[in-house]
Amino acid sequence: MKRKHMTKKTKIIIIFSLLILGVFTVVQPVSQVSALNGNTLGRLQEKASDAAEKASNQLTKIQQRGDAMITVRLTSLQNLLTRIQNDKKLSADEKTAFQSDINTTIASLTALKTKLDADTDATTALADAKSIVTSYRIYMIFEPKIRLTIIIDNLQSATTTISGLITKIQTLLDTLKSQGKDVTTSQNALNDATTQVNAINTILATDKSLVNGITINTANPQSIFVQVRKDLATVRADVAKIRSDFATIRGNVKLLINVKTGAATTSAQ
Amino acid sequence: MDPESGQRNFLQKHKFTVISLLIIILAAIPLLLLSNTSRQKKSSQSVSQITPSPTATPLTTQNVDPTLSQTDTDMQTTLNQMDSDIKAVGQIDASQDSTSGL
Repeated sequence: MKRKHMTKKTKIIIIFSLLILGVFTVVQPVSQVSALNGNTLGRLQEKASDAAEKASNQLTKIQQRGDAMITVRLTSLQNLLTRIQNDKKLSADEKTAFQSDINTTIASLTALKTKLDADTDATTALADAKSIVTSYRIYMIFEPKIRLTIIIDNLQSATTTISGLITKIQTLLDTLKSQGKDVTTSQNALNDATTQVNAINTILATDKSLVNGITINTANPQSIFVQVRKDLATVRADVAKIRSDFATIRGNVKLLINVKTGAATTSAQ
Repeated sequence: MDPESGQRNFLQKHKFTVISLLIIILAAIPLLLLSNTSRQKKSSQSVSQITPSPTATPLTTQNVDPTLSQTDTDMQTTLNQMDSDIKAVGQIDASQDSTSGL
C-alpha cells in the first residue's frame, strides 16, 4: 500500500518535472528566437535606412552635377548670342536664325534642369543628366557648328562685296582702256582676283553645306570641322592674293591716271 | 424769335448729339496721332533695314584709291574676326560632352 502511494507521488513529481522541463524547452528557444529576431529587424531597419540615405545622397549628387553641367552650357550659349548680336556682317535674317536656334536650345536645357531638380529617384536623374550631353552635344557639335557657320557667312558677305567691287573695277578699266591706256597689269590682277573669289565661293558653299548637314547623330563631326578649318586656311590664302591683286590695281591705276594719252590726262569717269 | 434763344434751343435739343460728336472727335485725335507715329516708325524701320548696295556708286579715278583702301581694311577686319572665331572653335573643350563622369 505504501509502495503504491509512493508510486503515485513519484508519478506526480515526474509529471510535474516533465511539464516544467517542457515549458523550459519551449520558452527558452522562443525567447532566444524573439531576441534574435529583434536584433535582425533592427539591423535590417538600419540597413534600409542606410540604403535610403545613400540613394538620397546619390540623387542629390547627380542633380548637383547635372545643374552644373547645364549652367556652363547656358553660359556658353549666352556667349554665342553675344557674339551674334555684335556681328557687323551677318544679315538680320541670319542673326534671327542663329538666335532662334540658340534660344530654343537654352529653353530646352532650362526645362531639363527643372525636370532634373524635380526628379525623385537616382535612375531617372541619371538618365536626365546623361541627356544634357547626348541630346544636345553643345561642345562637340552645337557650338563649333554655329561658330563655323558664322565664319562662313561672314566670308560670303565679304566675297559678295568684293565681287561687286570687281565689277566696278572692270568698268573703270574698260573706260581707261577706251582712253588708250594700257590696263594689262590691272586687268591681269583683276582676272586673278576674280579667280580667287570664285574659288573662295566654291569652298564656302561646299563647307556651308557640310556644316549645315551636321546633326547630333552625325557619326564623326570632328572630321568635318577639321576639313572646314583646313578650307578656311585656304580661303585666307586666297583673300591674301585678292588683297595683293587690289594693291597692284591701286598702284597701276594711279600710274595710268597720271599718264598722258594724247590730250586726255585724268578724267576716266 | 430771339436767335440766341434759338441757338440755345438747338443746343438743348441736340445736346446728346453734340456731346457724342465731341467725344468722337476727341477720341479720334489720339488714334490719328498714334497711327501716324506707327506709320513713321515703320518707314524709318524700312529705311534702316535697307543696306547700301556695294555697287551703288560708280568707281572713278577719283575714288578708286580710297575705295580699294577701304575694301582692304574691311578684308583685314574680316580675317581678324575669322581668326578670332577659329581660335574660339579651337578652345571648345569637346571632352565636356562625355557621359563617363556621370
